[in-house]
Amino acid sequence: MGHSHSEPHISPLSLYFTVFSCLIVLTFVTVGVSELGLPSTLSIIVAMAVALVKATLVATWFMHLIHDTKLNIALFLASLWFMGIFFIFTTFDMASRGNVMKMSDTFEFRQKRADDNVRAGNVKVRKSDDPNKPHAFKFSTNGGKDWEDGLIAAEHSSSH
Amino acid sequence: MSSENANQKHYHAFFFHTMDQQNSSHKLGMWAFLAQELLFFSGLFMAYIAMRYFYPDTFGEVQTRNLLSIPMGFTNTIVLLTSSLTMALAVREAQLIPVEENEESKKHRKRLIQLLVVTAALACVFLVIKYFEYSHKLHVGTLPGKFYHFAEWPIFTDTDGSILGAIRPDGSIDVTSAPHIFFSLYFVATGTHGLHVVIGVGVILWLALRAKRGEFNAEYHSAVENVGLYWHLVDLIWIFLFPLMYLVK
Amino acid sequence: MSAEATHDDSNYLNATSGFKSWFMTVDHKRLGIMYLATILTFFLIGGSFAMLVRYELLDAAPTLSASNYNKAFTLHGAIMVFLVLVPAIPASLGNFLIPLMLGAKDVAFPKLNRLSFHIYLFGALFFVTTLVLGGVDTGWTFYTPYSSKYGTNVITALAGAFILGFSSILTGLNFIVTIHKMRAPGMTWGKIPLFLWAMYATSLIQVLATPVIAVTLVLLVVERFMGIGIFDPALGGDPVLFQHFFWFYSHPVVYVMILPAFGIISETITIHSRKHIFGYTAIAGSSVAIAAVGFLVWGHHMFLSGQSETMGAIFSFITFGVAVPTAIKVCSWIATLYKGNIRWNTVMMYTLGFLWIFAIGGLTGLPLATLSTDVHLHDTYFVVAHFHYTMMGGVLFALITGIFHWWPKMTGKMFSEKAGVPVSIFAFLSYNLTFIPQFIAGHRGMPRRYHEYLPQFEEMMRLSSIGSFLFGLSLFGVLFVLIHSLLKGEKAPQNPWQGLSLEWETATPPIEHNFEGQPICTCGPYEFPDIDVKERVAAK
Repeated sequence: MGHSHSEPHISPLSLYFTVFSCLIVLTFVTVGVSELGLPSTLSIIVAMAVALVKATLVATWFMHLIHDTKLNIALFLASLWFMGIFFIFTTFDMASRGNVMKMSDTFEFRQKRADDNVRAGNVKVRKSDDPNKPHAFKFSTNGGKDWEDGLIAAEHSSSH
Repeated sequence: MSSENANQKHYHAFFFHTMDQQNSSHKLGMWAFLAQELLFFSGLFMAYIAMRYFYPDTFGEVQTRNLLSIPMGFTNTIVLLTSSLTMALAVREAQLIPVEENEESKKHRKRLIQLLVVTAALACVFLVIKYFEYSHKLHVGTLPGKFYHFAEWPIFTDTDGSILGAIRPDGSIDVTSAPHIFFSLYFVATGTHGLHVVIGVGVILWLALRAKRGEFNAEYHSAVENVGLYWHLVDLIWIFLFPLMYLVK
Repeated sequence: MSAEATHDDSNYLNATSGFKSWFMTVDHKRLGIMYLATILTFFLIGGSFAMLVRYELLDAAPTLSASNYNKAFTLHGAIMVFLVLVPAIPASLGNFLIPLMLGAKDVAFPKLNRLSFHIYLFGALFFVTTLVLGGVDTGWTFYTPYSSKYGTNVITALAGAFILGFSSILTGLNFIVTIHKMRAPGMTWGKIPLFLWAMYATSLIQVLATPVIAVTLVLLVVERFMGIGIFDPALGGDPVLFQHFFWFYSHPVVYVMILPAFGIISETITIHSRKHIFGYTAIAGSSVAIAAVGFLVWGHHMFLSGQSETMGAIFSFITFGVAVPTAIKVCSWIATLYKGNIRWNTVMMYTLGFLWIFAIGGLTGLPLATLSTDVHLHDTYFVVAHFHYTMMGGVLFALITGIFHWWPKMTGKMFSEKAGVPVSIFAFLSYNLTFIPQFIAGHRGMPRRYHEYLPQFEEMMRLSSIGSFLFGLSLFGVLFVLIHSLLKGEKAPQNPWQGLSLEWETATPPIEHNFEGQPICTCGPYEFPDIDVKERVAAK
């Protein structure tokens, strides 16, 4: 058997930098779109679509799949396929429960226990003017106003 | 019979006929390993999907309340993407090292080592930022499961240890709100990802050491390529984790 | 095929000696032998727990406490599934044979192979620790919220299973690359022995499915430690979600167990009936089809758990589909036997036993796959009998078949047919005595995992327990035949069964690096030259 040596494909530097720039731009796009305040489902779809494009760029060019044997690509795609099966079948199960037969609902059960506890006066809320109270991050979109007011309202309504 | 025994390089294993066979075998092995890593993380994504399905509003409220720092997450994304670039460039340098020892080999080897070190350094930056994020959460109490005790979004724990939901401002309990679960997902997913980053740092530095010893050249550098593949996968996972955790309301 | 020089007695067994030369070996043959010995040891331990369970069920009144009984069946199941059945054929015979059948000098990653073995031992250590600490009692299925909130020694058991999973993944990875990249010149995919097709399909499942159980076990450990609230309804989670996670792996894993068994049967049924395999392409293709479709049916374990009925119906439908490739195999094997020159030796006895046992196992899966009948049969002894017929009967009988068939190659010794054949018949009969009453009892309503039961089931349970003790005896009989062979067996010729695949073309036992030169594949592994039916008929 002779000595066979296939030449590895060496991509030019410009290719790597181009892909990298696209990735950075797409990252900005992801954050930008999220600030638009789209409805929840659409927001997720757009975010995942952008992520998918970024992932394809990384897999195709950084991971060299474009120059690789079909076998490696097939293995990668196979794992995505079975991942998809796992997600889709399980989600479909969760979404279609109670379609044929009404089952007992955990949420109803917990709501009842919750209401019982509220009635019994077991719900306590910490005082809001504690100087050592930990804060969320300072870069708040609305100054963190609404929940602070809410907490003070709870303070007044619940018993200690 | 081929000349395997007589002139075989020390990096050419005896049970492979050609370097080509060896290199393509190493690469296939790595892709198989990546396939299983993907399926491993798929469990974490499935848990995310399920919990988001049951508690859709919680996920949005986390962002409204600004409990995850988007600037930090964004910075980490850029850092990791850059490290992916430097890793890819490092692989390229390894491809360019000629087999005979000369000026060119020294030049490319030096660049290879530098790029590997930079990749590891960027990964460490990622980890440092994560450290700041985690320690902040430890401080405010947005921790997983039964360790959750964030005062501004309190949850109610019954006497038998069950967690019924978040406490609304008016003192009632919202059973459709589960911040403790969100943060469970956050910590398990980013923690597992972070663990893979830590392992990556170690392996990349080991590669740099091997490169310094002159072990890699154009004919043999499968270790560099394949660690590169691993590193890109770590990046890939973060590409999905970042929007899912930080951005989507 | 290259001729082998038998100039001296050096082979892989005696080339080097000492504990370190075995424990730190990268030789796939030595690793295969060590795996086999370890697996059989754990089979003995898991089997002892089975005997404990069957002893308890001899009569309707309880002997053990409920919690001790829970530990007994949990340890039996967990040890058998994770420590025995999953690696049983791949790690032992797979390791030994794959490079030999391919004409290669070792697997693609020998050091990784050694690591797989060490990881296996490390994982096994966790199970032993669990045993020592008093055992785990959640059932091998670790259903939440019992396993996330209560249960005993759950974390050590989960850690053990997690670690063992990595051994399995790395072995599968190794085999995929080896089979793809290291075939001898001239050996196209259409010429590899069917055992290799089976091992290839198995390895794909191992690599793709096992990580999901790994992450599941991690999530369960974290749920136990921190109450993350994903699987425990009291914390806001969904216990059915755990079952989805668990069975997404645990269904494909039964194909990891059985596909190599199918591979062995494909090999032995042809050689020992001296006839080419019927339907090579169908059998090869069906192996891959089973692997692929096997990923789509996991919900049939959850019909009664709270899964949606719609999804249940979909899973049921696809489960019927996955039976088809299996049936193709069974029919092909029977067609292989037809007009063959059957040798009634030990290997063939176990092969035929497998055919009967697996046919029953497969057929009894159908009422379980059917939603309406499963309502009555779920969690009864019918299920227990079904999976013992497929997994234990199927895998074990095939493993024994394979051990006897390749025993001469592995050890250089022949075994006694005079002892082997009667033991095989005894094993077969006592096996059926153990499990057929379980079908009957389950069908009549006997639940599984109960330590005391209603008196109407006592007759069937007692028969089953007696059968199980006899079956245990028969397995000691098998052990006796093998040990006797090691001590007093005649030296084996190079190719005692006149096989055509490459493993028979090298020394028996093989030299350290398998082949002197590079064997070349010139014909398929089943083209037995003198017994082909058409030629015999034409010769008349």
